[in-house]
Amino acid sequence: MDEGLISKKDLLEQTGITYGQLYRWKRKKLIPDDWFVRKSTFTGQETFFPRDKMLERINRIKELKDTLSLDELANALSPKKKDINLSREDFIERNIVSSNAVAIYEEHFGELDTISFKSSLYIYLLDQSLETGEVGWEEGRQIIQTLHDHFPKLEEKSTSLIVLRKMGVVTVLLVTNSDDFYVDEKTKVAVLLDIDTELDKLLNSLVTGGF
Amino acid sequence: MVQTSKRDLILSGHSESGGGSFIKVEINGHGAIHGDVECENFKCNGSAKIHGDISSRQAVINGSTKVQGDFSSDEIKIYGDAAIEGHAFFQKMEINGHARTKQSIKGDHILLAGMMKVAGDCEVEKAELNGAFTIDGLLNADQVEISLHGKSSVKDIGGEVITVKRNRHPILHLDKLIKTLSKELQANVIEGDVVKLQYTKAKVVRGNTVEIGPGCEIEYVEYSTDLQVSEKAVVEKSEKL
Repeated sequence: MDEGLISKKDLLEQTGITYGQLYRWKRKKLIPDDWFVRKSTFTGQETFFPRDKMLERINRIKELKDTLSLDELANALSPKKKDINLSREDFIERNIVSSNAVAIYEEHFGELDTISFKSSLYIYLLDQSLETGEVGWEEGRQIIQTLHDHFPKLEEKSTSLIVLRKMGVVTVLLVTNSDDFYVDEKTKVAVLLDIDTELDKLLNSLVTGGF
Repeated sequence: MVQTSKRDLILSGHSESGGGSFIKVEINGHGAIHGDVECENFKCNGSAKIHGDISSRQAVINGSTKVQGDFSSDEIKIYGDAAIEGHAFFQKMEINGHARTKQSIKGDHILLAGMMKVAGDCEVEKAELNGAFTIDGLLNADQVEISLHGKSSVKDIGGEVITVKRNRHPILHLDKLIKTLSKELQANVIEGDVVKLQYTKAKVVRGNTVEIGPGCEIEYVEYSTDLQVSEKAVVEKSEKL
């Protein structure tokens, strides 16, 4: 059996949640549909989940569910519904992103007064890419453009941002469910970011920043 | 934006119209609407075809209605025949006639007293299914109360409290609608905290408290607290966790 997966039975046993809770959370989209992996076993079809992501998500839900209602929780966990606007100054001052990242974004889309959550995610991803030292200004613009054009289509899925560099030419990819991938030896993976993980980090820094 | 006051759209006789935003939409004869409709009250008494989405507060379908897009309404009441190509979203949906959807349906409360065919999933807080139904996907609800009136099937059921029973007193008008009168439920997997079944054929049943009543044929039962099996039921294999 795949090591990265956990069966539903083991999951319920380990976390102490009930079928009712699991299905309710699925309904409320607290757990993405594509985490439900169906596989046939000797007892017929069984459902599996990506172990680490699922355990982390359930812990998070359990932590938050006493203070938030399920709908509020769904908002907190799903980037699409997140409806906050930050001011540009706050965003930079609180060290969430560097002013460089914001500058690239503004050069491309014009001056910002307030930043929607989605833009903030794009800028944050850009900033994380810049921090690797592997991408420069020009590549940054390419990243922003790709996110802006294509990320909304992939929102419900777990997506990774990948930047490849070959002989000075840069390719930006948005890939869903990328557990493993391989490139030829002349190609260098400059950036590899799991957007869900980055989103959690961004949320954390927003929360600690007092938003 | 230009603000225009909303009007009613009433189609009588044989007529066609474009979509738009209205207070009341009523189709009495044979009507077709080309485009999306947004309104407070949607009512169809005749035969209607909507080439677009419907979004309304209250919708009543007495005749036969075909919706090419999504149907979203706080309240949907179907007394006639509804065919929905897209999704259905609702707070409360009451089906006394016949409804078919090609995609999944999602809402708060579904009350079935007729026939229903859902090609996708059915996700609600409470499902009271008293007619005959076919759900090709997952029936996911906190409370699932099924009272069998005809041959029904569902791929999987998941929820908190799941009860399936057979009703003793057939409702008269239902018998006309349902030809196959073998009152049983077929399912692949049924998972819930409390599962009480009657006249159900399933491959796997998992739950904390499981009660397998008369007429059931279950291949495998997995339970953690309690299992009761009726003498008139067949359980091939069961395991306590």
